[in-house]
Amino acid sequence: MRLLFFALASTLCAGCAVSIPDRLREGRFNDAWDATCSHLGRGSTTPLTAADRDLMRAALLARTRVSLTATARTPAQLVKTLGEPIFPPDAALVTWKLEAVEYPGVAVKFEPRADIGKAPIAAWHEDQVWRLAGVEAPRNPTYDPKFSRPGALLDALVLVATGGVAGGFVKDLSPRFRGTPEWQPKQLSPGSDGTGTRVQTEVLALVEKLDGATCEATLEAPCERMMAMGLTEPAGRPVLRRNAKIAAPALGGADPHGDALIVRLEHRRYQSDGYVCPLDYEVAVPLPDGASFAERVNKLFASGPVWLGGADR
Amino acid sequence: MSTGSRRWAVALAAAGCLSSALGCAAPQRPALESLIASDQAVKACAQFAYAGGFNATPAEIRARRAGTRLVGARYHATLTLSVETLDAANARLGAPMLFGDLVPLTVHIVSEGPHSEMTILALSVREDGTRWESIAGHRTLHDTLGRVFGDRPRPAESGEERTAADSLLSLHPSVDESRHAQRTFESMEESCRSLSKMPCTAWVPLARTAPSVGAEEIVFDLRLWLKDGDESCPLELRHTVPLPAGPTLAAKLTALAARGPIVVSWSE
Repeated sequence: MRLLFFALASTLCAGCAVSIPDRLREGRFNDAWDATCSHLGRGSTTPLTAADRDLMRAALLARTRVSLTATARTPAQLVKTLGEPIFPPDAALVTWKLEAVEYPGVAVKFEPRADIGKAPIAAWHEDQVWRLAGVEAPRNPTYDPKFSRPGALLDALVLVATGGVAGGFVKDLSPRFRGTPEWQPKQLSPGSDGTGTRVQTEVLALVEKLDGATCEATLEAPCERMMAMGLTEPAGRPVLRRNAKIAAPALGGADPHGDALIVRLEHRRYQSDGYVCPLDYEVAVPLPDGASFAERVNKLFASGPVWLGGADR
Repeated sequence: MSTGSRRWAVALAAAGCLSSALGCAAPQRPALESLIASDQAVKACAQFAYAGGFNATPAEIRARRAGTRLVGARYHATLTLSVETLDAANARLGAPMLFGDLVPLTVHIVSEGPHSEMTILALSVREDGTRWESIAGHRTLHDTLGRVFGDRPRPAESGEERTAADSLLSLHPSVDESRHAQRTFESMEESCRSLSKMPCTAWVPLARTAPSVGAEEIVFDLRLWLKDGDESCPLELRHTVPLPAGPTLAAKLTALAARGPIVVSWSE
């Protein structure tokens, strides 16, 4: 009977209830990744322990060889080529390139920021670049129908009374029910030209558009991204990518002890059921001295790429 | 232990062995070398070309590259570059559509090897702090890009030139003449397919599309379609050539063209 029990147990439960350290020790890295994700998932009742978090982060870093390059343009440089200021003097327009030579999963994403004294510097993504520049973006005229509450209630009553049959008609009739004089609504919000000069508007529209292109580094192609970076404090709210996780990275990060460039790396991998299970962590790189953030970034990358992977650090 | 439970244990163990044999043992596949030797390049290519698809791991990408080198040993292409002046390009278009910082480039392709056809998937250049790509499909203001990210002072454009260049980039020509030129432009820009015995010329009007960091180079993304009856299989290759020195992109590309044709081998 004991033999039967063992045969059953080993057939049905092969590999389950094995800890993350054991899986890593046995070289079952993807199993350890899955187990980490199961602890981090929304429905998880057992949070990832600090020891497992550190182990998994170390294991990811040890298998990762990615290099970062950047070049920063200061507002003063921009004035030289554009003839007028676009961003505040402490901001910078930085072009980043992440190249991946070895990595777990199928791709690596990144998001840089910097801790300089007590002034955190981050990317002002997409339409936030207008706020960084202190300029109001132009708005296109848009359709803005008048809304009448009694009219909408009447629509609802008609729909209920006819059991939904009048749905198609209500679509056409509702402007009349609502008291809108035109059969085809033509009311537009006027839009605006924005508050920037032509050059400001052109440059900010370009920066907004270029920043919107997301990318991931793979062995086949690097990820190149341009970001407008500036102090997060004046605006008084955290500057993070829209829809981004506000929470700290799942696997934590290194304590920089001083001014540092901090890069959040995210590894993506598909599980067998098609679920994408990303794991992210932060890597800190000390920043050299310099008069501005842009100058310090240029100094850091002056002699070539900086390796972020575990084997090279 | 009873005889019945022992029988169950044996049956269970046998089932486990069978399932692992069916599920885990990789099917035996003929070696790439033997397929290539027996002139079955498409079958050989199919063993690695689609591994991982868009979500390939580094190991799968390396396997694809190694396979491409093996199967591609018999294939090569010759690319001959030629830089056009804006005036010549505008004359071909029949309307003054190209202004400012654009560089019209033509690439004459001759491919050799027992294959079906070759395509230029993409052509891009990194120069002066920005990437240059074919103008079609991009709505980026290339001149602004040059002013923001490039290192050379840009020549100022007149308002008329700017409007014409913007209308080209936004692909919304405002007058009939532009519309006709736009169609000519799009037909010239079409990606070039070089059949094994039919060379072709691709016209690639280059404009700045994004900031870019790194060495100045021209990158050709090429695809070779191997065909055997109804079966086909793609062999992809990225070929990079450093740009020579020069004051402008046009000058650098002209210097590169003067060195002679670029020979690309799939075994590289």
